[in-house]
Amino acid sequence: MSDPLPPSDADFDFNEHFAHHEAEFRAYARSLLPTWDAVDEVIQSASLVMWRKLDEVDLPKGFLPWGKCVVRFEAQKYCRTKARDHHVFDPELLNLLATHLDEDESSFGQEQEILEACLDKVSATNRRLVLAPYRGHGVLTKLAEASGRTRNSLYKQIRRIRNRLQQCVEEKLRSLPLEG
Amino acid sequence: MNPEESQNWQDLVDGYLHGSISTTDFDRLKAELKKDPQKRAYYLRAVRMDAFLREISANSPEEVNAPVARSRTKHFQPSWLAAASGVMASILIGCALAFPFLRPVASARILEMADAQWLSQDWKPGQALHSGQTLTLLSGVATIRFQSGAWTRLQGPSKFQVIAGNEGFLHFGQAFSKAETAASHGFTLHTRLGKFVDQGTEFFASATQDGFSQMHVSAGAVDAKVPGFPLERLEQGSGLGIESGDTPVIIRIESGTGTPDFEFPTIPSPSDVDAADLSQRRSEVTLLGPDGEEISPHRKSGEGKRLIDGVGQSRGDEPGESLYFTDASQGLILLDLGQEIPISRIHTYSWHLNDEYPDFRRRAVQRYTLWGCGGSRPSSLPENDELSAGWTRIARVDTDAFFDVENDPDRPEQQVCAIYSNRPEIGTYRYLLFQVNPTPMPNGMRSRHTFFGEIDVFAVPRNN
Repeated sequence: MSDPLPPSDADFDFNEHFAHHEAEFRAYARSLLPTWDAVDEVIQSASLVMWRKLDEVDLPKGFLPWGKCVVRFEAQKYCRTKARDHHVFDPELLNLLATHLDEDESSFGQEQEILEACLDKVSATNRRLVLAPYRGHGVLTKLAEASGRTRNSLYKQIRRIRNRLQQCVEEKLRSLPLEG
Repeated sequence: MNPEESQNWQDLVDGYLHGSISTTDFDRLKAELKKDPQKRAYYLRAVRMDAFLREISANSPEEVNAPVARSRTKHFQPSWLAAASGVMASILIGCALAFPFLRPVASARILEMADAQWLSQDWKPGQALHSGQTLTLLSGVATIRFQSGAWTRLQGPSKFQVIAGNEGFLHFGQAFSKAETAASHGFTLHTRLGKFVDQGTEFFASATQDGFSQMHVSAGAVDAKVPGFPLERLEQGSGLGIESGDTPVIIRIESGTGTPDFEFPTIPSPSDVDAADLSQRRSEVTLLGPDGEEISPHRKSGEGKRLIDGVGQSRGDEPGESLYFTDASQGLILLDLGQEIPISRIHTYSWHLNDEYPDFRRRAVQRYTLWGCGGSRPSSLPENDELSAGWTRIARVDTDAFFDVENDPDRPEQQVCAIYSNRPEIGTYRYLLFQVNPTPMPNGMRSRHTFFGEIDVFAVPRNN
């Protein structure tokens, strides 16, 4: 009899694989969804589907592409139910974006490691600034007040830092030896 | 893109990602994303960068002297964790310990405890339990109330995991659950071999460390979902066990009406046309002692053939029409079918209601381990392993566990146990061995044995 239930001592595979790819699933979902709250909701339902259908997957190789596929379907479902809400992509655009994402063969984990290395090179002030939007509502405003600048000018500076980081990541990726 | 166009596109994407985009700009964003692959690629890179930075931010402590304290509760509220698993939750809980503002919403709480001894963490009443958290109760009793209003009372030793606000996982031990609020409809208790889904009810479940799971419905109904088996709707008074192994086996327990007709909700009355019936002139019943020696039954017991005569007892207190062992002894019932038979189902029936003290039903309980073997009979008796000395363990039965019997009046006087699989046969056997356990008695009284009335063995139909 197949064991239907992942959350036990005997079912470590799901935990291990999901935790390993969680950030990538969330990034994938964010590409298709309007807010991080929507991402939370979709990842909730997607993780349930994955959890219950794990026995359908050729582990470990198949987990990531299959998991993304589940996230994609759950995101589409979310967008259907919220079609009347503001800022939700329509099915045509969702398919275009998902197709683009599915064709992307770059390594999420590797890219994240490179970004962290690039981030280590920026000054503490710039690091604090570029991470400020993720530290909660009002953080950027307080930073602006403390520095006597407008939020808008801080956003522009953040964008410049992000662009430099993006450039750094792309350069490092290009310098990596080709596989195979 | 020229620099100006690039600047405008970045403004648009940033506005979208920051949640400050106007409806007009959003429509423009969508249109551009559809028609321009370059802009699409930029958008996806920006999202990925956003996700990376968010991840890095969540996993790095805020710098000392940061101008303000962050508050990310809203963003990070992990309601989705309700779905998932231990590690996912423990990652979050780990974060929550480091950053209290990340603490997730509780899926359940400890409601009350009595003499509870815990393995590691010293849980307290009122303490929040998050999805994925596991409690190991060594002894005593602890009640967990889920977000939905459902509650589960654990009896130690038990290991229990909160899965979500209306869902738990019994790794092993005993759990009595009640789901009486509207929000708790569908309360689900998982075990390693299947899950039990409330349909407005209270039910008792137990699981052993090797996964053997049992459930009994005290009120209402429960759907038992076992992979590979059709869904079983169990009504009040019914129970189910799930035995793992090469051939998965369901053990269904029901209580009867307490009449000589032996009527049960779904399981048929004793049969006189089954493969083991006396009329087939092939089967033979022998009683064995703990060392395999042939023994006699209790002095008031009927003969072995009572078990295969096609009928149960005529009354609840009829020793001569029952087969049972001497008090305080250990014994086994060996049923020789005369030839190897592909077996589809096995039914065992018992009935006991003390004439003088109708509350006494101690000989009604069925507690046995059923073994089978084909061909020639092994020279030794089985041990406790699943495969033992040529014997195959088919099922473990304890109807007291099904019915959550604490005291005698709780025990149904008339009981039946049906053993079957989702496959055509549970095995091909010539010998069936019932390793019978007596029922412990209070106050130094000798343990009692079950009044078995009938055992039916059904062969797989030939055209199957």
